[in-house]
Amino acid sequence: MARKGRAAILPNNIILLQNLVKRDPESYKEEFLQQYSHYESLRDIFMMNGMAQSAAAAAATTTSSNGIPDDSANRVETNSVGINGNASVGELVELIGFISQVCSCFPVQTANFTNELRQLLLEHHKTLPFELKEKILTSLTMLRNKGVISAEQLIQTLFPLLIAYSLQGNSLGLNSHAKELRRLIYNNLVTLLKNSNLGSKNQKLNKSTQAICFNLLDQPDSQGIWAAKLTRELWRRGIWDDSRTVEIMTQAALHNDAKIALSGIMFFLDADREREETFEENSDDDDDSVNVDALKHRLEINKKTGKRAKKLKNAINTVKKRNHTKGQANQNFLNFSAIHLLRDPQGFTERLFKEHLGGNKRNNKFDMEQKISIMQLLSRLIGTHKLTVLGIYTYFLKYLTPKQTDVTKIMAASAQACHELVPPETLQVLVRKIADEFVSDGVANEVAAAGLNTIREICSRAPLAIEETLLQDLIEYKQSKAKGVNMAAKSLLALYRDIAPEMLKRKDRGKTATLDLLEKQRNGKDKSDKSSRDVRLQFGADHGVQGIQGLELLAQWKRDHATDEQNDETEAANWEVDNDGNSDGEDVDGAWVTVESDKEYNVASSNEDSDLELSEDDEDEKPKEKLATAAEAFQELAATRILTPADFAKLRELQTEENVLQQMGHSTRDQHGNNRNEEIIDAAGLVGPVKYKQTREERIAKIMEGREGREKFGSRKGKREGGHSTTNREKQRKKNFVMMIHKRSVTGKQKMSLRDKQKVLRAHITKQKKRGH
Amino acid sequence: MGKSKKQKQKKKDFLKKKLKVGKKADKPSNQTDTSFVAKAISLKNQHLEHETDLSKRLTLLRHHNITVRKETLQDFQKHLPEIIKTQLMTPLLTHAIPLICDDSLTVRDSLIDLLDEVGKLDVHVLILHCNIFVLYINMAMTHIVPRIQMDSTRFLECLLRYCSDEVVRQAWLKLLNGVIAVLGWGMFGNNQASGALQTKKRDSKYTKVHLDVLTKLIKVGCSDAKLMANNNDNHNNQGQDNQGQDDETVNNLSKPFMLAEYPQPYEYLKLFARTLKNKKNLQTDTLTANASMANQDLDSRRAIFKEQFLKKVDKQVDSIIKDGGECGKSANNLKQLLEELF
Repeated sequence: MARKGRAAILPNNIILLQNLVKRDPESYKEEFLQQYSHYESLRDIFMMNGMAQSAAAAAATTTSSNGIPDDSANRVETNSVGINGNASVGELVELIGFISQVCSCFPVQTANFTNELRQLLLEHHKTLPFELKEKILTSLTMLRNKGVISAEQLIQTLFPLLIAYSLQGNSLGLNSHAKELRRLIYNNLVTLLKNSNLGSKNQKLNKSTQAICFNLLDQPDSQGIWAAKLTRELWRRGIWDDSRTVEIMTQAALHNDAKIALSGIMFFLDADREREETFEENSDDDDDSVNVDALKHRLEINKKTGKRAKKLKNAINTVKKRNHTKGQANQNFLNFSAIHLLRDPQGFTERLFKEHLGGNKRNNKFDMEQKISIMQLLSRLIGTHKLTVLGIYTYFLKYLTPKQTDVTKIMAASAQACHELVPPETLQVLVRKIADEFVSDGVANEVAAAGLNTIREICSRAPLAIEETLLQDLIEYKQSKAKGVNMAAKSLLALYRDIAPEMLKRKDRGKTATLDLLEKQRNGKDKSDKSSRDVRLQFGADHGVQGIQGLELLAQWKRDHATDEQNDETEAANWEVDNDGNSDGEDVDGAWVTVESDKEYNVASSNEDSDLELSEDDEDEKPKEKLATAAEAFQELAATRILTPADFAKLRELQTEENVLQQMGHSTRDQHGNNRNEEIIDAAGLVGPVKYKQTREERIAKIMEGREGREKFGSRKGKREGGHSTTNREKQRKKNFVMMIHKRSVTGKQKMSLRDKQKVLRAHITKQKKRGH
Repeated sequence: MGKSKKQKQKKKDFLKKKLKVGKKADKPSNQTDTSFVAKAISLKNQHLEHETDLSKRLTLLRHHNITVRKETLQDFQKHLPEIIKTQLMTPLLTHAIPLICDDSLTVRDSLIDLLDEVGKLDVHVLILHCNIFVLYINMAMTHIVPRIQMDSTRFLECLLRYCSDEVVRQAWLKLLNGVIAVLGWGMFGNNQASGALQTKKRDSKYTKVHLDVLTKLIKVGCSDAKLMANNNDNHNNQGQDNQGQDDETVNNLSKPFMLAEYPQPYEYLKLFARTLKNKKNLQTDTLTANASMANQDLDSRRAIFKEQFLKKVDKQVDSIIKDGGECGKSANNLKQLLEELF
């Protein structure tokens, strides 16, 4: 039989027709056009029905809502929609799918198609059945993937729908499927934005979408929640990561509607963590990566088929793509947290405080938990940017009582809000309040520990926040029996030994701190009153970063190694980072440096040697060497030459080493890190270790945990080693007493001489010992 | 010694009754007798006429079983004389009309019978629902299943029989396009001749029906409406006709100020219709855009036909006449009509 041409096959279902049209659009133009006009007539029917239904609905609302059965006119109208609901919805859905699949083949004839779909969706969304709406949505997405409509057009369709379906009136309607549709639309939006930002960022689209978000948030109703939700989602995926995005969220956070405001606030609190988690997850995905080598190998061994070759090609493509996108992602993604990207942190914080926590009455729109979230955000902002919002400290006072729910969170927030630029008078009130409420003999141990820990956190950020007498009082708690309190007081003590030992009592200062103080005093005697002013901490003193951090360590290291290795390497070699860390020492301008350091070195050593010979004679070297100060090192290194990447690598290594040493207790004076303020205080950690009385189950569980993997104790008596039947000896033993009593072996024992008895006993004992019983 | 009667009775309440073999246990004191006596029992489902409310059977028109749908249609047809003046007609038609696209031939046949009956009883009912009819017939004309497509002209024929004027005024262009597409004369594409579907369409036995319908449609659409109306009047009542002839001169003057003769005279203004706004960038669109305007009066209808369809129809008709047979006869009729009109 001769093969029929494609045109000779008569399509009688739409799927078949779609296939044929895709293969050969020209031949099946007629059929396509027929189906297109079929679609048009169906669409007209739907629109007519939609109008009928809306008219019926209007009639129903005006006349009667109690649905009297003989009011047949109303019922009829609704029925007429029902007909199409069943019969022709499927058909229309099929047709829309078909046309949107093939409409790129007939651009002239279907020029209006997409526009019609959008209008159908936007104007008739109340009356169309769910399946149809869903289909139109997916078709529009498909059309956008095919490039028939632009992303902007699609977004302009999707956003109004999203708003429309979250309105109360629409979502309550019968069979509105508002929730499903919202989810569908929202997911479409996110994927759309993701896809358009895949290679390089599509700034135009992003900006227009962000503009829509801004407009949404401008309105007083609760529709802005979608803007907040979308922004958060896109931030989490790293698609939007600029300050415009953050600006949207600030607007959300300041919104009047509690829900929206809260979503904005939670964004600032959580979004960065979420984003990191997402990226970690993504990086984990690499495990199941396509193994190209294995595939290549398999292709060499096995029979070569087109299919396998194709598979390999695909695999290589995916790997390339993945590498490409990964590189892109790394390149695009700057790890700025949302809080850092704020344009006007001071203004934002002030407004946030005034509008959500300030004095007016409408603030009870937030419950306690939400208020705590706001406090957390405020304090984090204040801490990170060192802002001045003085009202918040008195606001905290209200909540700082032991009976307050979630008081640890509030305490953590209050500690977070402190930094050294806040006037000490303000903070002293806060600290005094905490000390009064939490740290006294009458309260539970945990409460006292929490109070002390909070005070420590505050003081580590703003050392002047506490008065000397109060500090000394609090430190007395180091003798407390309760472990938590004890530890908290000791940590406070350790902190002040580090930053301001002069505020402590003499006996509490500790060795190194005392030594330092003594040294300072001696210097003070030398240089009169200039340094005596330095002894006390002062408000507003400049603790800013100068020079390069840790440079003195590098200088020290270089000096040490300059003598060992004088080999001159070429400078160029060091410009490549040497990860092994054993980069060779640079040739330092030896003579000049030694002079400079020696001057200081001599002064120090002469002083120390004279006073403290007893205490440290073998540790003598260390403090001397430490005395290479930052300023000096800066002059020595940074002023004379340019640091190479190798130098920086070494510097980092030395810094970590130093940190480790500090951790181990070889504490030098802590230059309390300049990003101290950005650390987040863990509210649960404030209470310290709490030991409750365990229940029986917990105790048993703990015991069982200890016993894991060891044999049971107790005698081995009666337990057999291997499986065997009873021995003769065992049988003998079990024999009836009355039967045995007259045997000679038994009676003879009584008649044994004392000597013999002794012998037998001895033999028995040795035997038992040999057996190991 | 002995206790009083009252006391004995009291005690009796708390004594346990002994059960005895062969005797029924006493009934509890709080038992209610539910038995009743009636002269006759009537079982509703054994009645010969059990359901009088026809509106409840409307949903059966959507039943999945073909026979049920068919029988429901026939049932309604049987009851038509009773319900033709009632409110039930609108729901009946809105339910029944979608069956134009029904898969089963028998259902479609009985639907035609029903519509025919409706038209015989009261033309106005059909006229009122004309727009829905046109929509569904148009849908059937472009249906992918050939049998439904072929049958669409029979419905159109039925409709033309009763409310031709209304049909032509509403959807002249649409229906012409549709009929010609059903005939396979290719209004849409330009390579119709090669299409397999078209050749098959030309062969089909339905061609005669299609041609007849086309003839009728052209006749109604392009000949004088007034004349047609008079013809219709002749059918209905001879007596009024003379009066009408007399008043004609008056009518011509006052006509624009009188109430319109047909329903929804200003529909083409689309005051109450929601339509989709399209960009008008195609030359074909310009035609369809003012289609509703063009349908309204005779002259524009004729102009459109002459401009767009006449040449094509002429060509095709000639070829069919050459083939002869039944179709040839119908085609000849059409040709005569065309010559007469243009």
